[in-house]
Amino acid sequence: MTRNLKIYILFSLVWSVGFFAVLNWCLYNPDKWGWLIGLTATIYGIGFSVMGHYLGSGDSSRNTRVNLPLMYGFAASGDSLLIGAVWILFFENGGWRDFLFILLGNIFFLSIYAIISRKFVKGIPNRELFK
Amino acid sequence: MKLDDYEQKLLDGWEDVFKKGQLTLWIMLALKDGPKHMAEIKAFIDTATNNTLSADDQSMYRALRRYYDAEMIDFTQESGKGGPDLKVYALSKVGAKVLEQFIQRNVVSVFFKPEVIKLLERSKQ
Repeated sequence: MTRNLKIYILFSLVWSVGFFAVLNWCLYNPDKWGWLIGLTATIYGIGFSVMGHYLGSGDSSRNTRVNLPLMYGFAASGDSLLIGAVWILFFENGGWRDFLFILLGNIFFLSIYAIISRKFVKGIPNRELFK
Repeated sequence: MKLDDYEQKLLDGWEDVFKKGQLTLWIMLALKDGPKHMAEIKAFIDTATNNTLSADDQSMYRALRRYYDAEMIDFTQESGKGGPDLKVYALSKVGAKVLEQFIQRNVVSVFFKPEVIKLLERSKQ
């Protein structure tokens, strides 16, 4: 794991905590702050994208054997899922069914991504690497 | 053996597809022969393939960069005589092992079979 990836995991944890805190605040004050939900979600996504791009471009694929783009995706999804699940369970009084639903959805998409990434070496498509 | 226009078109098409994917093998073979800078790698490939396979400088640099990222090759900087520094490329341990396996599985165990050699030798005449 590269230093930048560790920073990204930490960032996405903090970012997700911040997002769900704002989301929680908005949901409890829908009349006043309901409009903020969409904006927060947008900023949340952009934050991941910008930081992922910034930190990812500083990584040398020579120094790692993992598929870095995939790992960045896993980090963002994993942290988002973790914090989202904690939020649902403890702040929104959701049930395990909700948590399981989110978990299965994420596993489904990550599995597809993992299958596709088998045709990649360190994020470089085999066709591109050995052409 | 002289080919008519259609036969030549077929041959050109086949060769075009056949050559795709061979650049990696020839670059690796050039470096198996010993460390080389890019111009030397190109010269090796030209000679070894009777000029049937060639790549422009940009494609070569991009390929070498990819192999470096994939840990298949290493490079050292050497001062060019009166010019800019040259990158001298060499096979890495990983590259050497992968190349050996590739040659064993795809060249030696296939093209060195006696029956295949016999067939190929028939085309010599």
